[in-house]
Amino acid sequence: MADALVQVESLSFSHRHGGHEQRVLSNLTIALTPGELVVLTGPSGSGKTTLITIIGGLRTATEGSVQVLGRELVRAKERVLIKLRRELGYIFQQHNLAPALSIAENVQMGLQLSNGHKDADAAQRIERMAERLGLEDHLKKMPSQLSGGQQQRAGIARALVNEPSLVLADEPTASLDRASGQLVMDLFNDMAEGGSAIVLVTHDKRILDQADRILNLEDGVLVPAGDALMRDTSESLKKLMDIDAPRLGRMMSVGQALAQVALADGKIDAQERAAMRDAIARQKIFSGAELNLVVDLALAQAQAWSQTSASPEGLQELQRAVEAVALADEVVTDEEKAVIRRLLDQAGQA
Amino acid sequence: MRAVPYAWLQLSHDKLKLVAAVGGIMFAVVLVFMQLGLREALFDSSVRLHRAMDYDLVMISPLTTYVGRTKNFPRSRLYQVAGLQDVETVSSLYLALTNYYYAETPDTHRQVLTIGVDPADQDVRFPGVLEQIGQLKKPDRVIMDRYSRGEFQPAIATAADGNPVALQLNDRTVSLIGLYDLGTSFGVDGSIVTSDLNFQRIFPNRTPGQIDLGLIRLKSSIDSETAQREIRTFLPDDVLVLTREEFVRREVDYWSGSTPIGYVFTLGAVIGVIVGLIIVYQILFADVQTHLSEYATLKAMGYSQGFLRGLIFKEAVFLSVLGFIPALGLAHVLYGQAEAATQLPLVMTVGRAVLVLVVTVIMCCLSGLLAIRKLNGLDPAEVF
Repeated sequence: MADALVQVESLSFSHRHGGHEQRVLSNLTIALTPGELVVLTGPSGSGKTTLITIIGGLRTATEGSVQVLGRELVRAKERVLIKLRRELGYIFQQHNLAPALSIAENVQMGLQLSNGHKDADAAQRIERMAERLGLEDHLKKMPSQLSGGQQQRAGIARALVNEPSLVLADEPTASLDRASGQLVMDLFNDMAEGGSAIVLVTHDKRILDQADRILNLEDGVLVPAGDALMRDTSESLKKLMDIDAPRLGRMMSVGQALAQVALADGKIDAQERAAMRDAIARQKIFSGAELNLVVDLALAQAQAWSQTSASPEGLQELQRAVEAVALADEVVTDEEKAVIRRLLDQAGQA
Repeated sequence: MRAVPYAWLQLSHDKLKLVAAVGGIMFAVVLVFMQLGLREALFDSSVRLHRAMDYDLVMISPLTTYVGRTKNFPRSRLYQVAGLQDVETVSSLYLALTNYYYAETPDTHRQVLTIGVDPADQDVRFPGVLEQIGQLKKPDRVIMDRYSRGEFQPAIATAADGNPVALQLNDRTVSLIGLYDLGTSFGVDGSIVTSDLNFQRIFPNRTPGQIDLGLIRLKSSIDSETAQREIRTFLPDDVLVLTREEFVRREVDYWSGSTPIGYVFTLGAVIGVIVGLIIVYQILFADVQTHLSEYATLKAMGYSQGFLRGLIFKEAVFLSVLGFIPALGLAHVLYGQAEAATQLPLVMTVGRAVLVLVVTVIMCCLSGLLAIRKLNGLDPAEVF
């Protein structure tokens, strides 16, 4: 890929601990193009941070090739790595602002890397960046006078003031509230629109839907993001069942009922989605996160039914599956047969 | 925009810590100043007599260790030189430490350096001596150094007021009739000048033909080293003929090399530097330790190891200058007090101030160099 900002080929990385070698990343191949906002997810210890430190020239891969902004980083000299780091925007989970410097001075340290502080508009650049992140009233303050979230945003301003073409961010929104997190995401989106590539390591599910691509790392290898999401969702549902089974049951039955009604005419449009939400909200049965979950369950179920019915093979699979469940106790009762028939009818009509 | 003065901001962020650091360095620098000052004062004071007399060459016994402990030699050796064509005049001096007693201060038992000179000679030129030397021809008349140590000051004060003062030198009563200006040294608490005949009266066991110093003045066109070489060709080894510089150097060498005093002060100065080194190292090491994650962040951002080293070195230089300035002022005050108390020539010279500044900067930079080792293994990936 000629215009890739990052081209990782067959990358592997191992740690050595007293003669024992521990493989952290295995045979990864990734390309990042300008304008992409990529979210890197995965459980703790899966190698996400290691991967971005390798892309950022802070660690060296043991095997493979890592080309970033046109430079090969494997076996590169320190001065090449330093030059590269100056062209990147790093956002660290621990912002590590210098406590002796004001917020403006901390941000300026990012600008100084490229001698940008000598430009005529240097002060305006710092102010603009601070304004984007809601820090315009805090530039003269010391880090200790700011909240954790404000400090995190100052760290982000320091990383982005140079308008880098590649941003590597480790949990950038972890310590931010929803509004501040969205400010940061808006900035990332704008930068991506301007041609920068953004890589976010995050566990924050709120920002998954804003990603152009989700890369999921598990035990040092890339696995499809859908698999991970399903597993996470399944685990979440189990936990919810353990905590409050009656409430979850109520939400699921309401969701199922809504899905059936909405799918009665064979399709769900935006109007019906809005109506679903309004109807539940008016009943005041569920609120906040519960409301969202019920609607999401209904939509997911309706979508699943509609996709199953799209092919005769899908219907046959569904029939085999439900019959297998009915046969689990070696007897298929009349009641079970009636339910199976009704389900298949619904799926066939959808 | 000007670059962020990172080092200074970091250093001055914690004011209390900065004051403590500067205080520590100031203490070390004052220690160095005092040791060097006292060391130089020792050397300067020990050659006051050497510099106050008018001569081109000096004759001494090879067994003379320092001016307070001379070994006499035959006056005839000096007369041998007097006949040379290049020699203008020669003068004999008698030197000896004398037991001093002043009835008004009966508890004061001290020794004073007594200098016997021929009243006809003009070579002993301490301020005040030439004007009074004629009066010393009278029996048992002496004049005394105005800057002798405090124990002698009651007698000096009485004489300064024009009142008669009777002193006992080696149990002989003499009259103190005037004062001159010379100053003390580590080896000599005070001095007295009298005529050669009076010297004989105070030291009846001394043979007039045995002198302690022979001063040789050459004709104005004569090079002292050339004359020295010529004189050495015919004099036996029982005397040494030295130029002024050699005479001064010999005295200084005695104090610096043959007594523990010079060593002690040099060691004191070195200890001062070591104390400063440790203080600055502690400060900078703690600074690096505290800010390690910030430094790793800077490194991850693209700042080089050189930038971080520069940061620590700048802090070291700031600390050295901040510690030096008040130390210079304090040392100046302490010099004045010590000079008043000891009559030793403790003077702050530009050369010494510059030397100590350079030593302080080097000391702080060395500490910085040690503290920087902590940065060498800094892995920027650690901040993730």
